[in-house]
Amino acid sequence: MARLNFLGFVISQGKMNKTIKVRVLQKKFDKKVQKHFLQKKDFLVHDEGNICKEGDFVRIEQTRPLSSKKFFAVAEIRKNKGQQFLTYQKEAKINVINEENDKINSFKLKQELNNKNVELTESFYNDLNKIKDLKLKKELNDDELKRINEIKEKYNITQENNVFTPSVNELSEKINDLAIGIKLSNTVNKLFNDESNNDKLNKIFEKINVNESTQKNIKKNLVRKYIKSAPISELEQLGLSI
Amino acid sequence: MYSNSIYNKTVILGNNISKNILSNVRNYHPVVLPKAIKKAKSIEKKKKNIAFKNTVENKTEKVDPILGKPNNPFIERLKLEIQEPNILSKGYNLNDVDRLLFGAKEVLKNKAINLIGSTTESIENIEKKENEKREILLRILTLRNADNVEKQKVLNQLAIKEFQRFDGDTGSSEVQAAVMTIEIYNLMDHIKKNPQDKVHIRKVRMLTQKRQRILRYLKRDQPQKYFWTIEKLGLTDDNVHMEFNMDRKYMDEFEIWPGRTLVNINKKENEELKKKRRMEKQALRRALHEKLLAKEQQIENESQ
Repeated sequence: MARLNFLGFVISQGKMNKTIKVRVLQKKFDKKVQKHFLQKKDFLVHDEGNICKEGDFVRIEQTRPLSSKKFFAVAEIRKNKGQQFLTYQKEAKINVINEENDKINSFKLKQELNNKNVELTESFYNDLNKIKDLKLKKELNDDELKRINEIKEKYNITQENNVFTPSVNELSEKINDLAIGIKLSNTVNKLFNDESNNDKLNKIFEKINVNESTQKNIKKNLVRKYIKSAPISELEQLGLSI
Repeated sequence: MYSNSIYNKTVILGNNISKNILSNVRNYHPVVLPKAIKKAKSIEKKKKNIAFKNTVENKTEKVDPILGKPNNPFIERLKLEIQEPNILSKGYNLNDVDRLLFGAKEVLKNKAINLIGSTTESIENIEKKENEKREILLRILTLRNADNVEKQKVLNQLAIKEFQRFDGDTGSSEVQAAVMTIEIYNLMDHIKKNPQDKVHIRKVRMLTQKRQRILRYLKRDQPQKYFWTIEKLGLTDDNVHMEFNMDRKYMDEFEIWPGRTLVNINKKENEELKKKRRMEKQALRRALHEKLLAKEQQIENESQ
């Protein structure tokens, strides 16, 4: 005869020697209510070697009675989740202690810096005053260079030009973007306002699948997007250029 | 089963020997102990079991399910962090405020210089006034002078920053649990001062149960993160899965209001406690006695 087999979770371990408690969930049909219910049953299960841990998913098998309340034994461990949990717990304890130590040390360093900056002479407001004075001068003494270096150290500044005056490249990129935007809006306005350009517009509408019923502003936005992203060859065919 | 095996042996072995074994089997009968001795043995066994249970119970450390382990380094650090002098309330940054004030001062000064009939004295006056303004503004804005609500907001932000999975993450389970713990700590401070505030006691109970629910979900979802968060918040796995009611027994056990006895032990419970203590003593005595006996036996063995 086939032996009884169940799948279940280990819910208690370590309280009895070589014995664990396994919870088995099964569906049962209640005739009175005509409905399925989850029935849970706890078994005492033999575990030679005390391998199972709380949270493991195990298969249990019927044996001869091992004691007055124990007639099952662990056949296999399907998922060793309990063992995983234990390792995670151990890792977490070490990780958290290390992390907290690091964070407290960095916080103490910050605290020292803050304590120095409390004095009015070293606040950001007065540093700005100093910088303004230094910027007006064309030639700097050794003393003043030293002061500049101190300020740089305080605010973690490494590059010289980047902080006080934005770099030329960045500015030129911004200007370029602005110019392209202005050109785009001009071309779109021309397309919509001149009646002679209706053929071009209709072609574009066909390409981006726009109905006539859509609102004018939405149409305008869609056309703008299309012109911005479309390849140059397509635009040349339509007779447009940016 | 056993009788079967004996039967098989008889078949294999010769007749003469089989007779012998069978006679032995007939003679064998289990030792029947007198009832009194049986009862005494069972009582002793039960006592041993209870003693073992008590030792296991004593070994597991009891952690407060609301506040967690005492002196939690994470919470203590956050409390130190909001006491720093250069933190402003209402989301302002000190450097940004300084930059704005400096700009305003410079504009005023430039205007004064361009005016006809400006003197060095008038310009100095402007600078003095602006400096005064800055001092007043900072006095208004510092977190040290702010109310509890503002402080709580800053604490929340700091906690979110430590627990978030990515920038701007406010909804993941560990973040929610961390924010809840900060709220719980705040409310518990209030409750300790105002023991009659039943509304907030209820609020704390609901918050802790909500935190339990969310942490239970996190254990299912990401166990590694779950163990990290509970370790950081000072909780234990048992704290998350236990049934928690913020009842008088809990308040008495963890001394929320020290010096107050909230639960009076009745006669029955007192007797049980006494019994427990007696059993512990007996178990100790028995263990010592057994040890002594073992030692004596060892000495005897050595002498022989």
